[in-house]
Amino acid sequence: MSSNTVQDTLKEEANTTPEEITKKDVKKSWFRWWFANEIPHSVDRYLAGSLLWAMMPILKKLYKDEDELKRVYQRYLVYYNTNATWGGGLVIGILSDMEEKRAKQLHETGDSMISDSIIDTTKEGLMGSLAGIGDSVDTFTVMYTLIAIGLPWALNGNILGALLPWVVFALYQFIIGSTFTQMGNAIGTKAASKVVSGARSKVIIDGLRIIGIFMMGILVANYVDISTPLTWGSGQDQQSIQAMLDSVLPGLIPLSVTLGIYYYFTKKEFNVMKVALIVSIVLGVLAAIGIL
Amino acid sequence: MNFTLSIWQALLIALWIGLVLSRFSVATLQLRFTTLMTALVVGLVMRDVPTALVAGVAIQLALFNVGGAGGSASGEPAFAAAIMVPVVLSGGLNPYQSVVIALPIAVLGSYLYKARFKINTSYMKAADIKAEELDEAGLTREIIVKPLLTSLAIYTVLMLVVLYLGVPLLTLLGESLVQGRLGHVLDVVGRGLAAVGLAAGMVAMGKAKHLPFFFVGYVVAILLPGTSMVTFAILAGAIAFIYILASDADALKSSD
Repeated sequence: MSSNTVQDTLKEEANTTPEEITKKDVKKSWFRWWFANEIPHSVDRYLAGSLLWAMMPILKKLYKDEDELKRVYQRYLVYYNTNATWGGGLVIGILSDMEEKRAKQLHETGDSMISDSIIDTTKEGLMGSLAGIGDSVDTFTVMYTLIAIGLPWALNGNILGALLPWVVFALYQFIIGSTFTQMGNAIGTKAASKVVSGARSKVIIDGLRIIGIFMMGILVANYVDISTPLTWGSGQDQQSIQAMLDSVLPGLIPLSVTLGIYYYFTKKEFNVMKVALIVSIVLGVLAAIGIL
Repeated sequence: MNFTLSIWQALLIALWIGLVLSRFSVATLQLRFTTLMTALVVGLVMRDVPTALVAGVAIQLALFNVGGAGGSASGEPAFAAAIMVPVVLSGGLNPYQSVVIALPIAVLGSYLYKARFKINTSYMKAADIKAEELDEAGLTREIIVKPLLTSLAIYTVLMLVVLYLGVPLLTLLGESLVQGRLGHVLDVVGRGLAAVGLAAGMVAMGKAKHLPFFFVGYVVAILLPGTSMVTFAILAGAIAFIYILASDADALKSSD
């Protein structure tokens, strides 16, 4: 074999060899997911476009065969939906790891233990459970707790009441998502089971929920304003019913109304707008006839 | 007060909502659900930040938790605030009265927000073809550029029209509504609707076993009036930490 032919063969080999996926590549994919996330949200495929766009640089480094790369791109363009950080971060990290192993096995042996369907099943299996846990922590606890902290400042005209909750939450999401991405890439699917069913993760979530619901108690005491102008008796013996109720427990009416609505939400149905309409009618009628 | 909303002011607020609803990065997640940042932008544009923030708080309390996982929110708080805060600043309604009209506007906003999912469906079909052609620039166009620009254009133009033409009408309507008894009725309803928003917040944050901590928070707020929210948050963190140490010490050890 001439030296030219050997060089050509080596060149061809180098051209088809999957490149190493570095931490920087994985970080870049997380950043692309963070940016794209909800932009291409569609009715039928939800966030599939964002996942493909996030993974494109990694996939391009791994799959040098054009037909294989086409198939992989199309594999990513099917339904995908999950929470931005917990689900998004972990799945990107795990998929980067799986795709790298798959591409290398394919190149070395012509086959891979990690089939397309294993990658699809992993993705589909994780997105739901991680979305549930991620939304309940991020969107429903951390985000609203931060907004609650900002409310009194905003009420006093302080712009920090608006700025701080947003800046802190945006930073929190970026950092936690980036951490989950690295974690998913480093330890694969073990990272997801650690998050979904790990004792430490359950404890942290429990703690966040306690902080959140405690802050709700503070908000209800301070900001639900329902009172009655009714009085009892006449002349000098006239007593304010509101004062009587406040002597039992300050804010008894707003507390009772809030707990009644909470009971309805948890025992009947969670339909905020329907309940808001009913409460508006009831309060409106009571206000019109002078009870409130 | 009687501010007039110029076309430039309307355009700036409309651009803000366009950016928020087109979901320019994960950083817009909270911007959709908080009314405070939108109120701040409206306040800066209309040069009355304190009043704008008070209106933002009133609307936020009623729309504290409108769902939102997977894009399925039943209302769009920022959208409602972008319309009703200017009405408050124009003197049409007080912040609490504005809540009553903000609610149906938030519901309307949720339908408008979902409209972009349908538009994006056609871009995803085009993305299939670009993937087949391995056209990376084409994929970026179909997945990022076109959906972003389309949403931005639709929401900005729509909000511009609503703000420029709708806010004066709502202000006039508000001024006529608040005369006499109806003004009192709207005020009572607007203040009371915070109960709905916060009850929804309780559902989101805790399970039944966490309810005692709600009562602890309530009683502490009554006993310590005037205490800052940060102080309360630190107290909440300490209570949560003690609870965790007491109940899950074994679980924590086993996970180490």
